[in-house]
Amino acid sequence: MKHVIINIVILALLAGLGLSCNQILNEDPTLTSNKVTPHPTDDVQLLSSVMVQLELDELIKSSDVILTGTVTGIGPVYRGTWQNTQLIFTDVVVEASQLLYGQTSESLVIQTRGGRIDGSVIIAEDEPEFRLGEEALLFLRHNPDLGSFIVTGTLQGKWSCENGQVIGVAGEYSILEIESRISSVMAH
Amino acid sequence: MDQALIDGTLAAADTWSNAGANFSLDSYWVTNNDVTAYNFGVGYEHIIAQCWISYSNFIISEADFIFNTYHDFSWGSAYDTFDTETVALHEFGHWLMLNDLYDPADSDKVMYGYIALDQIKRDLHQDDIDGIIYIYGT
Repeated sequence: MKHVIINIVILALLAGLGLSCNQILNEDPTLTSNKVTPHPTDDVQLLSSVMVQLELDELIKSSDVILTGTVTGIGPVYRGTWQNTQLIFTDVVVEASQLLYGQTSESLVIQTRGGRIDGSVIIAEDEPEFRLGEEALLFLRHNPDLGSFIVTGTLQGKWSCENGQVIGVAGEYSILEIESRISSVMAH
Repeated sequence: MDQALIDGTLAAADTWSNAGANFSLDSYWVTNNDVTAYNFGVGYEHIIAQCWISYSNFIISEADFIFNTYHDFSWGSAYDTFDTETVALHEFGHWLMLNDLYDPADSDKVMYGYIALDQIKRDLHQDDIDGIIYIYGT
């Protein structure tokens, strides 16, 4: 318990300094994705949303950081409650490879809603899936309370990287085109 | 809860109840606070409404949905608002265990996961009807 408390204090200090963690507290080396498949006996909360579709310019305007990076760690954590239900989030560690906009350290943590802890499962269908080792283009918003990030537009803010192109719900582009669009949007 | 939210939601419940499948949605959820409204907070402004379903061993024990009051809603002709009946029709589809669709080819269907300001979609697509009949029979 003392070890956990010390880690939480360190995490709080890092968050206060605006730094990001390169190791999440509850990293689970057996997890390869932030999305889980519940067991039949699990207690499951399923979250589904209807949302506004964000075009590329809106994704850019709404983001604090835009980068490409690789997923290097995944771990679930309890964080808060809603209607007497403990909320489960899964923290995803990303090592940045190319920062396109904003400021962040090389290693950052992204908070996603959902996960599985001890037979309790939350599935947030509108959260993007992160797989260990995958590279992605990410549009991120800073979460000042935790010192981590959330994905802009949830599933809309994570784009796959394939053959030099990035592909998302708002279209397919090269990184150069994305950089150009960022410059254009931010200039106005 | 705001009357426009209630009226639009009641109308949406009737639509699903009259779709020809073997189930109905009564208005118990109105007094049971299964449909509520609050602001989802920073970072989730793009979400118009969210559904929560609790289940274990394939049995649903609770279903709720929440309107995000970051946005303006109406049931009628107000501009620059989201139509409560359109939103509720989609969310009730989740209560019935239908999933979101994100392929633009599915944009006419109630379970399409994106919605636009002032968009009206108050009728079930045949695919929506086929979906609930597949689950619940006739």
